[in-house]
Amino acid sequence: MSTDVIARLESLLNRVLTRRALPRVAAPVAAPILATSPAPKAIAAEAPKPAAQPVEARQPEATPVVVAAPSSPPLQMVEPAPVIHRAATPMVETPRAADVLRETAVAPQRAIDPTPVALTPKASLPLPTPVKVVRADDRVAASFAAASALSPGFGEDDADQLDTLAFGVGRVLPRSSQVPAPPLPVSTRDDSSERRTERVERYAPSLPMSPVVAQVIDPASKLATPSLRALLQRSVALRPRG
Amino acid sequence: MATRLHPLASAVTVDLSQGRIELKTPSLARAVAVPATWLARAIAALGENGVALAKSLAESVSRDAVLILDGTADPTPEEVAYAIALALGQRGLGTCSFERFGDALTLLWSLPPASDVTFHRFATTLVAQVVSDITGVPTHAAVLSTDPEAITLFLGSEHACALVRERVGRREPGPHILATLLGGVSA
Repeated sequence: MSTDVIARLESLLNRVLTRRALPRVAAPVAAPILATSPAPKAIAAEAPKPAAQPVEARQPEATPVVVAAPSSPPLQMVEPAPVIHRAATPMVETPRAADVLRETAVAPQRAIDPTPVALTPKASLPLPTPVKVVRADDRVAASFAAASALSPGFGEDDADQLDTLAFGVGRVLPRSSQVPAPPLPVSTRDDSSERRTERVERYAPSLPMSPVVAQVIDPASKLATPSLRALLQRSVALRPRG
Repeated sequence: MATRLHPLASAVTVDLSQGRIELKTPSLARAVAVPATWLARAIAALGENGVALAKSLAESVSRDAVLILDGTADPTPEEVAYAIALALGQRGLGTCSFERFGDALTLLWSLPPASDVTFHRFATTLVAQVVSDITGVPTHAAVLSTDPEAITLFLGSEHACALVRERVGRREPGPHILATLLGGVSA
């Protein structure tokens, strides 16, 4: 590798280190503080002034503060952004350059960020391991799987939902009880009216066999009850014997 | 149907703040509640004049019963019993139902205002006229048997009713009287 490339890499690394040495938390923290706490500042400024100033004159100053406070973001401690080590990949590709850069970069790196970083003084840098991204679907599916294993009331319907979730995340989740469904009866016979009648009588005996029968009024039942007039005529026709 | 047009729940409205009892009948808008014993004493005091009072009451009851039947052609005993019972019940005079003993037809008057002998004439006059007005069949009635909460009246001809009164006067039981009247058929 030529010295020009090494020089460019050194300059690039210096720029990165210089940028890290700057106070990174100063800029994002300053803005929320100014936006969320103007009221105490205004009161402190008004305190030395004479009390003869009317209250109405101060209200236009305080009003925008009160209105702007809810819309402004809440005051939070801004954590430093995670350090991205882009130099890891080219260092693997260029072992010599990495060895050179490692000696100059380790000391300031530890001074800035105490957390372990990818640039460690090892003889051979490990390959960057793929980060396991935990998706929300995985967590939901895992919780359902745990529920299926622990909860006694977790039925087959919920197990079906498990399958759906597993399909959504691209893998099949283990089920608590792998009970195979009974095979459906295979019938080649025609569904005759006799079988339909048998089904109706078996599962719905109170239902009418056909709507025509339910709508027909049996005239015999009406004729079975005689009218009061007919009964009374027969009673009046009684003649006592003797 | 009479039972749908004239439900029992809304037949009588009692407004105690105004002291009014209103009947849901076109023939009698307002009623006056009196003790049953007071009515029985008044009927007993009237004697033979109680017949006129019974006929006046029967005219009102039968009119209401016809309205309750709502033009039902050739009504069954159950339908007529419901209509008469509703008309009687609105007046606090009890209820009624029909019974058959062979060809003999009887009316069971439940919870009448009285059941003693002084009330029998009033009861037979009232029932006979109501049944005659509703059915169109000239009918007479005679008390067949009584108990503290019901009166059983035989419905028939004048001659048969006279025989029943004679047998009841001799304290013959009601089923025995009907058996004699029907020639041995008592059920």
